Formats: sequence, C-alpha cells, structure tokens
Amino acid sequence: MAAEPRRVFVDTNVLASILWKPGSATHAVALLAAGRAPTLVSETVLDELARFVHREGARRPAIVGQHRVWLQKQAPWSDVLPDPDRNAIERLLGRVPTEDAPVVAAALAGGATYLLSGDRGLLAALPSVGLRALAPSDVRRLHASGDWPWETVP
Amino acid sequence: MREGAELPKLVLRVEADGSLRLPPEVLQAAGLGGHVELDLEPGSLSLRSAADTEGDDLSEEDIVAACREIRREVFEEKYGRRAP
Repeated sequence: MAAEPRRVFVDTNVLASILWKPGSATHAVALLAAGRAPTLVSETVLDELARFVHREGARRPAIVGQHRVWLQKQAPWSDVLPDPDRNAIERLLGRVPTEDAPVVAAALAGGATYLLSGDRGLLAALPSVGLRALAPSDVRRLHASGDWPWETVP
Repeated sequence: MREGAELPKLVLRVEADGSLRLPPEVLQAAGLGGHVELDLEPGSLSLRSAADTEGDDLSEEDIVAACREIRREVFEEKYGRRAP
C-alpha cells in the first residue's frame, strides 16, 4: 500500500502573502498543489486571515474578493482542522512562542509533517516539537532537489 | 461571451528583461492600463491593475509582522491572557 503523502500545515502569513501579491508564497503553494500535497489550515488560521483581509482590504480591495472566492469556491488548502483543546496548547508552552501554540498544536493533531511559514521565529522553534520547518523559498529548492516528497511536477 | 463562441487568440510575449507584454486590446478589454500584475493560481489567471497596488505596498516582512500582531490579538481573545 502506498504511503500517505506528507501533510503540510500552511500558516496565516503565507496565505496573506498570496492574497497580497504573487511571490514566493504563491509559487510554493502552487508547487505543493501540483504535487498533490495535502495542505492544512486550522480554524484559528482562517480567523486570522479574515482579520488580515478586514484590516488591509481598504488599501487593496482586490484581496477582499479573492478571499471570498477562496472561502466559497476554490481554496488553496485541502482541509480545515479544528482548534486544539487547552491541554494540547499547554503542552507546547515554553517550546514554541506562546501565541503560536494553538496553531502548532492543531498542526500536530492533524498529522502534519511540515509547517509552511514566512515567520523565521516560529520556523526556528518547530524542530523541538517534531515538525519540519518550511519557508516558502525552501519549497522551490526542495522541488528542485531529489528529496521532493510529493508527486513530481513535470 | 456566449457559450460555444470562439475565444480570441491571446499572444503573451516575454521581454528580454523577463517582463510580460500584453496586447493593448487585451488591456483595453479588461479595463486595465499601464502596469498590470498577473495572479497565477492553479487553474486560473487573473489581472490586477496598478491602481490597486501602487503606493500601498506591503513587503513580505510587513505581512509577517501584521500576522504576528493579529495572532497575539486572537490568542488574547480566545485564551484570555496576553502572550509574553
């Protein structure tokens, strides 16, 4: 039986970057989608993304419409995880930045192998909890290497 | 456009500097002009005019910082305490 593809938890700042302007985050998520990598977010991530759109949408109205398209038709994530309980969050305190604990706990509960984020502070803390750190710019390098763990994009 | 109508041919030319040139009739039909950004998503492509983007840009670092601030705000609301 084929092994289940490795799951990637996508952080809020990656989605916000895609909405704001095409760049390395857009390319990273497109490569993961083409490789059929399961991409996860949590309820908290969607809450944070909605707040980002609310906060910055007046400056760039196009992100409001694109965010609506994601929620109603075609999202760049394949699954939404529930927020973890308090015990799961408490277990991570002191190991990752406090406010990241709900997101990291959701990623772990959802069976993620990688966490994709542009936040270097968070990425640096991930190995201590058993998650592999992945910055958007790392995805292109991983794809070009022989270690790409998802389907190969022609 | 009615169903079954033949789509007009769209020719995109990549310049030597890597920029993409769109035919004027495409820009005119889309109501765009001057600097245009392309949004590429799996299965779709959309155009965004410079009017949406000039003078109000956020860098990736700005976006990370904004999301960090929002995360602290959400944490405080949901879990009732301030993150250190």
